[in-house]
Amino acid sequence: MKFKTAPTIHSLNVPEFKVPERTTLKNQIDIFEFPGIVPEISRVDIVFNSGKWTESAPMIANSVAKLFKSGTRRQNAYQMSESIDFLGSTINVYAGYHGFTIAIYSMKKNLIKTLNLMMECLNENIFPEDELENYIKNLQSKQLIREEKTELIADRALKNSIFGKNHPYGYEAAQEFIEQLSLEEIRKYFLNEIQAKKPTIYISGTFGDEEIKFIDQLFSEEVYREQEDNIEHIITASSDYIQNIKKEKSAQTSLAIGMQSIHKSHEDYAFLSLTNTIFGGYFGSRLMSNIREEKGYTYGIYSILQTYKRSGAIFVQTETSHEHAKSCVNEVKTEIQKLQEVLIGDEEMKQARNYLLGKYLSRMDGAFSQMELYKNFQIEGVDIQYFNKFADTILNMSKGVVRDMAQKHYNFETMYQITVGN
Amino acid sequence: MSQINFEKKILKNGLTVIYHSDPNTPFVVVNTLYKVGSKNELHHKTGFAHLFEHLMFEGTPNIPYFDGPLQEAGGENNAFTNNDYTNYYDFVPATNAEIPFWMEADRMQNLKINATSLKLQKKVVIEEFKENYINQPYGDIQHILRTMVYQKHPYQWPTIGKDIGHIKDATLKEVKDFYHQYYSPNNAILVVAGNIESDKTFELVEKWFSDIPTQNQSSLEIAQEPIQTSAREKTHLANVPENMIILAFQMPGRLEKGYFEGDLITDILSSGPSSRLEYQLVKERALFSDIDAYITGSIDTGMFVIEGRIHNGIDIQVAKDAIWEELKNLQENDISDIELEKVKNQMLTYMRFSDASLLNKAISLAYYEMLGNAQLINEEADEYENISKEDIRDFAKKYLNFSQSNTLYYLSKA
Repeated sequence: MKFKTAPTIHSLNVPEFKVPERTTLKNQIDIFEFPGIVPEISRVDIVFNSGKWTESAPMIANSVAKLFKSGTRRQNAYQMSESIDFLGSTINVYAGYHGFTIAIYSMKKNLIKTLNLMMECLNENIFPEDELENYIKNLQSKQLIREEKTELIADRALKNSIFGKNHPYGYEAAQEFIEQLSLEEIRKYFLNEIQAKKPTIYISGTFGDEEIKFIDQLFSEEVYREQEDNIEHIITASSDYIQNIKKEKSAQTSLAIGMQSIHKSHEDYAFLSLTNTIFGGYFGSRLMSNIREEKGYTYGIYSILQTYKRSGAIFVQTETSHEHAKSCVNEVKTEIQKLQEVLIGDEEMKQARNYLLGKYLSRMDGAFSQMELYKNFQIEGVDIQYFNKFADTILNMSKGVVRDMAQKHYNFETMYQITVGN
Repeated sequence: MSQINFEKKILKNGLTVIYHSDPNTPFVVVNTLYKVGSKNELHHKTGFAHLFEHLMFEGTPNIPYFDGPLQEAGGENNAFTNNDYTNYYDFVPATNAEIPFWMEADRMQNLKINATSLKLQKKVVIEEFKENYINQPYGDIQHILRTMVYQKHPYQWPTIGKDIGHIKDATLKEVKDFYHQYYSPNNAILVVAGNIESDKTFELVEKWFSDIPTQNQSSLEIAQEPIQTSAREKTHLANVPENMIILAFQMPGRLEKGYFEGDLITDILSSGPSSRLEYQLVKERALFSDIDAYITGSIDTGMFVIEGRIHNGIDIQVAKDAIWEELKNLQENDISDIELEKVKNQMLTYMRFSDASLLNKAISLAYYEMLGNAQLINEEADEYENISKEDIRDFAKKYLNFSQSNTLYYLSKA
């Protein structure tokens, strides 16, 4: 075999994220455009500044989302879904922490028809009682299964502990919340937080002036209230740092370890982002290398840096055999200490940095991704220019900063440690 | 119809190379498919192909840590194994396009397998087995169902393996033999897609892959499944909150007549809230809390499956009869023009959105080439388009019969 030298690895250039074209419609609604070279398909997202943050009780916003297509005066739920399905289109509605999104996926040729159906739901949804009953019954049944999953129980206990059981960032689905769902609150949320609010619109893929004009016309008839979400939710963190939850006959123990952290606008965010990548954010991370690739205790272990508009959190999650649960927790502790005490090597720094830059590049790849990225920045209330600084910040970040960040933002003593297992 | 264009070349050592240009992305995908899956395993040594997939990340003398250079190149990689094949993909920024060529060519011939890495990956795979199949409510359905539907064919076990014992027992020699038997250029399909020129691609392919030696292929003959002639039933008790019923039928393989009909029928039954099972049985009659129809899409005889979780308090026979009413309806009555057009429209939009992803396109090209011809990627939409009402009825009559059914009652112990 002839000798071949390994190819050189080039450093990455992450191009600037270009601010999309914005058209302000007659009704002062902004529409952001992301034209792309995709064959005859389009996506439109209609986003309201509400989400879980502005609901009166847990699970209301999501219930409104799920019942969005439950019927109007003209079409019942079945007819409505038949009309949408017939076009081959999808209307997905979901409630995030701060954004309530109606996402439309359609062939370009059916986009206008699909938008009409969406508008019918938005203006005329009557939330029939029997639809709610059926929805609740199935939700309860799904919840029975969720309650069997150790990883979901651990995840919920961790979020409850960090933010509080009823806090929009802290709660997860539970039977007690499902039981309290009322049609009155659901209708109220829809009226005040969706119908009355001025949305922001994002369009991507294949579309033309005709579609933009049509959207303008669709939204020009109502009078909308300005977006605002000045509600305060008080964080009620638990003082119970170590929780061992029993789940009889489970085959593994689920671990969830974490603490409150920073949001995207915080000056440390880019630094912490790379630090967390090194710690547990990718396959080559410290946690994966040690606990999976060296010890074989788990199929996967990750640390997630989750950001919200008004806060953030670090979540470390894994599944392991019962006998190794304790060691796993100890190894997480050891890895935090190492990161706080020992300066990272050049090779590892380069690898993690480039990996993260590649991830950023992929988040800008194609019209659909660009729209998703831009939309999420807007929902979290972060200037897109921040994203552009991000690549530079990471490129110029020194190794000492990793250590500083680990010391400043990770504290094992104040992390919640949840185990769910036998 | 928009076409997905590609160029194809077969190297002297038997490696099939497919190139697809997509200048609208800053990325390149290098996707390597090996024609080996869990169907190539022996019945007492299952889970082997998937375990081996893990070992492919254990490095070589040249690249001791496989993920290292790729992550440093700003890329991502992963792999999956199913019953029919094993697929590895690398996704890198175009400036570092050569990196995955180097790495994939290297592990195609120089993989370092030793007792330590084998022991380690066995542990990881056992945790994976537990995480996805044992520690999940209803997690073992595929294990049980496959032994009912398949009595001869190696599709009778899922890719993860029949049981953990088989993974524990794998020996170093078996692993090495497996590597030599299946991991060679003449058993692989390489797809390069994205922002890279054709000349450059074939130059790099030549540089990195052309001198990898061909291996003798001595594949085991795969036992084909005889047509089922009488109904099969099984009851399984488990710690689950609700009863479940699973109905499965044998159906044509990926290249056989009837495959696309089977796929479209599962959409008629359970794609979207206006689909038949969803609307009739979940919504109107409120018998099930959840119901799904799907096909396994395998190359040899596949499975057509309907599985539904039954609300507590509902009689399981009533629930079963309700599914059968829907199947009878398919056999006895023509589907309306509107309903047929609806599922076709849904399918077409789904395919278009899927093709918008570079990675999906690369994986699909490799898959269709394995089926015999990458060009099939451009013919699939027509296959669905050409399905008639009669085809739907014929399929239902031919395959969705009681005498060819497998019924699994997956019941709550409580």
